Amino acid sequence: MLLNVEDLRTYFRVPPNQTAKAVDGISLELELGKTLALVGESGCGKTQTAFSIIRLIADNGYHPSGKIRFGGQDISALPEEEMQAVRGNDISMIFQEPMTSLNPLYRVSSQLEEPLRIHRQMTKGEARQRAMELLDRVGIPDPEKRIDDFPHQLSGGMKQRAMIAMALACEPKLLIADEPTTALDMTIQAQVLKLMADLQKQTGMSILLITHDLGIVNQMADRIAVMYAGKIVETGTREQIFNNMAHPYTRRLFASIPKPGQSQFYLNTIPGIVPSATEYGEGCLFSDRCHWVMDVCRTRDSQMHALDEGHKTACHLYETQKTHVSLNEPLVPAPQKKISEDILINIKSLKTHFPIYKGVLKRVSNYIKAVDDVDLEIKSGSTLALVGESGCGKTTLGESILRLNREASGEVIFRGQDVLKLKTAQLKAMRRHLQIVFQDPFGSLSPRMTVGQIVGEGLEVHHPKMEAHEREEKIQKVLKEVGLPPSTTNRYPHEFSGGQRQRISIARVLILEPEFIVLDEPTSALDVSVQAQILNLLRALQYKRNLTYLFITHNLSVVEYLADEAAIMYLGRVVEYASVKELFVNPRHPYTQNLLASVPDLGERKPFEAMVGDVPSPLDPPSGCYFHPRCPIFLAEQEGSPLRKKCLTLYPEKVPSQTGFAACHALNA
Amino acid sequence: MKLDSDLNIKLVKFKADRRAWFSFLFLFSLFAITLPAEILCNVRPLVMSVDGKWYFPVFVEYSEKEFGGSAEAEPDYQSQSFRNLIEGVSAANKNSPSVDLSDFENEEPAPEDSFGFGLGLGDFEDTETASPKREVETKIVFSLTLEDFNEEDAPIAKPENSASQSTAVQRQPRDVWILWPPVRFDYKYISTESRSGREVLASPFETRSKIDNRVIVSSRVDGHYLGTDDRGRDVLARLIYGFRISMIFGISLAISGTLVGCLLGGVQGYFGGWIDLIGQRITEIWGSMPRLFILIIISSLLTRSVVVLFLVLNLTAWMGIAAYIRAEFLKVRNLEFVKAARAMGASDFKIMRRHILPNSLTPVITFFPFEVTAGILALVSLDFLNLGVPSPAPSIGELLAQGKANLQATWIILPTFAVLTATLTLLTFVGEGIRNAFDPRKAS
Repeated sequence: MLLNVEDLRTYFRVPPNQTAKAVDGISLELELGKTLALVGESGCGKTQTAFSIIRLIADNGYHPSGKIRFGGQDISALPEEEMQAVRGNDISMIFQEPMTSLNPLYRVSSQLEEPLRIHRQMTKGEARQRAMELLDRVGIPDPEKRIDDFPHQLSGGMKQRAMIAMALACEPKLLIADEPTTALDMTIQAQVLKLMADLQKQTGMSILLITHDLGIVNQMADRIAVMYAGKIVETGTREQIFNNMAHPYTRRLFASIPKPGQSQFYLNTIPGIVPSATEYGEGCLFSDRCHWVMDVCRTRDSQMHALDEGHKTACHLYETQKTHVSLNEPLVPAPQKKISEDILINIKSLKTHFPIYKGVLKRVSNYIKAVDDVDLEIKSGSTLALVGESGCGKTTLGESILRLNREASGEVIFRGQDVLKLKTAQLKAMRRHLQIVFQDPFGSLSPRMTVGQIVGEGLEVHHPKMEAHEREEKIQKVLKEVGLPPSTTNRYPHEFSGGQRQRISIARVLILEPEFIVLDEPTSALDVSVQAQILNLLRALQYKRNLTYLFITHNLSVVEYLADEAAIMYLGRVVEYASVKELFVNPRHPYTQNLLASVPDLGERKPFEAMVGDVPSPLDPPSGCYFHPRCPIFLAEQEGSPLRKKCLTLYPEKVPSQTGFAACHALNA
Repeated sequence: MKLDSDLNIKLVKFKADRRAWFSFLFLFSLFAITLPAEILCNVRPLVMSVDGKWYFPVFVEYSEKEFGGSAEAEPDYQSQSFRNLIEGVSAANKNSPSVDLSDFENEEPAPEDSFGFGLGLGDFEDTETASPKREVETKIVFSLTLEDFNEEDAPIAKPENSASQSTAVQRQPRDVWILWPPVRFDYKYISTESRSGREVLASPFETRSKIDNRVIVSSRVDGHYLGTDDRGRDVLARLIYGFRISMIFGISLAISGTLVGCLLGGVQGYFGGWIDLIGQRITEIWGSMPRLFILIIISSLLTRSVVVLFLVLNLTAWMGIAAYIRAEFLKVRNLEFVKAARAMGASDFKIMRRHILPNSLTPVITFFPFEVTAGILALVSLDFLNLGVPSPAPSIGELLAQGKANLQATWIILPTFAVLTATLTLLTFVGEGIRNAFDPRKAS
């Protein structure tokens, strides 16, 4: 056993006189060469567990109990100097945010060489040689050149690779990866996960993988520990857990993920949110959110019950019955959408080119073609999903439709009028009908306004003569509709969780009774359980108010669940447009195919098919077909073949399909 | 409005910084005490009653006629002639050339009566109570040289005949009760009747005459607790009035500078682009204009006054804040809640006022105390250079200049220096406390 954690507790003193029990008595075991996944919603103590193992917890933290044995040695008793020799040498860690985990002031080389020179006492030359090898191994092209780059010169995926290279520098026995791919795009995520799996095979290290994505867990983990509110509620091998989920939390967490074939139903969600670590009460902490709660749950926390060899769970349901307890979990059908054949919004050759200024006189030297010649039709009552990696222009497209940037040109026909050509007064009247919900639930609400002011603002703008009590009534009504208690009106946004804030954002939009809402990644910053709550809400509202959505996302499982049609964007252009049913069964564009392949699947375990390269800069897109440098079809073609020539020189025409089109030369051949 | 809990935390943090909090309390109470400076230091009595009729000379301007005199003008309440008038003592034969000059009486209250900072309740003036012993004392005092000064006139030594009263015609004595302020001088009153023998640069402690080595009595016998300046005005009164005007001037300059800065910086930051570019260049040109020369030019064109000075300093006071606000607006205008408000159809002005400004106020609040400091320093230095408010306006800078010109008069330079240094230091402490309270990195 490489790592053995026993009854670890990590508490934090929080002023005034409170204790946050971030980690509250967990035990873990990790074998050499295996991967243990620590799963749970945010705020469950996963990251603090990792920090406790390498002893990097904040100053106000302490351990009331716990033993951490690493390779037979009790590292929890080591003095700090000896711990420094372990950290970065035997155990290394990679962090969630690649943008901030590298020091921007030092070149990649000096940051890579640092652990080597500290732990391996290498000379400068040796360390540089080894650093170059490492960069090569993590798949960074041209390591001789890249090694002297500063972090800002690397893309997000490259930074995370450099981080991994740094972590691997001293060939650690244990790699702790704290949400290593959460901040990355799908295709890059697939690259990084593939890299980690390959490196594990080569070096035989163990990985403690912290994640909230059950798809990644399914593809990567050997063993799984499900954490809730500072405790491990279920642990077992991947097969045991995925085939035979025991704890209600695990089951519901899994049910929260939209899966193929569920689009006609509401998702089974976990109501509420994770309790704050300072407010852990008596009994089972999940009891407030549990569908199968019993009286005993409220007073007493459950023991760990062994179900199978190595499969344990802490739930009172298993007190008497030691095998699987089948729980009745019917899916509630969602009401049928009322999609009409009328086109609500007709977008014709929409372009948003941001100028780049140069020189003293600020002449326009070039354009960033964020949105480049997009045509879309959105049927009334339907949901169109706009899918793509970051930087592909999907958010800009959404904002351009609402005329939230000045650079948009083309036509957006809504109710027979071109939104992009409206005068100020007409535009103001039009804004009522076209609304947007933003991605970041923290940035999209003004922190200095109460919820009542935020939600009521639209009424003030569009119905300035409305009586105060009538306005108040409307605010209360819409808050109730999105599932918030009326008492929220006098509180400030920072008092709410991410999911509640997103509900406030939706309420703010709904109060104007719009017909069309742009949903700009409304769930990407949320936990899966909360995401499911919001998706259900959006579902219900769409039916009730006959809304039309433009759903911007990079999460393909959400697309499949919520959308009717999907447009795949790459570098400002729509490369494929199809009905969701067709798209997921028969993707035609190679980019779409790759996107679908890079999603960590919940079903069969399969090797990642990682697409090569990064998303190119929209400032300087590749010639011909923008996708060709990463396209497997192009790369497989022989040098000088006619298709290859076409891809290099000509942007492909749209090739019609049953329900849409795809823009690829290979389809015409 | 409900106090933002965020702001509440900052307030708690500010209070936890004991140095800043006590500095704030001390400075605030000083300011609160000196705000009604007219009640603290005034040549007019606060309340007086003559024959059962009540007068409030500090608040109401009475003419001498109302007290039975003959002049239309407001009486000099400190003068002996006025005292004679209300006490019913005739002051017919006077030989002084000036109205201000008056005669001295045997009944003059003993110097001891003027001591202390009390509200002068013991200063009941009553001719009947004058004791023979006091007569002797006062006579000794008055045997010293008396110098009467007019603001314009050169000093003329004028030995006064203390016995002149003997020829006065006695009138019916009146029932008089007077409540004086703690300091019986205001910032511009030049006393004409000194008992210490020195009116100009009178020291608040005993000194010796350079000519004949005689003891010169402390100016406290006249009620000058910190002596007088080079024109015979009370230093303490000038300090109190000067502190008040400095604070008011500094605070109003900071407020107006902040308002203008928010407006100009906000417009530049919000609209960006060409407006920002041109605005920035104009700001830079404007900022490089020498303030001092503008002031000299303007003071040669206009009559100098506090208002003109205030306006001129306002021309540049907004620039620091504008730069910060511009940067904040540039940052905040791209946040999503601003976009959400735009999507809602809110107007530009409304977005700036309701969404961006409240989120950009941190630098404004943080820099406010430092702006006040800068405003006070500007006023003091201009006054020191004699470019500030014209005499006889009370001014710390002018006192500093006097102190520099009369280094032997330590009672001018030391208290002035102490007041100025204390004010600026305390303001800096307060500013530091506010800055720390608003610093998110120091959040616990």
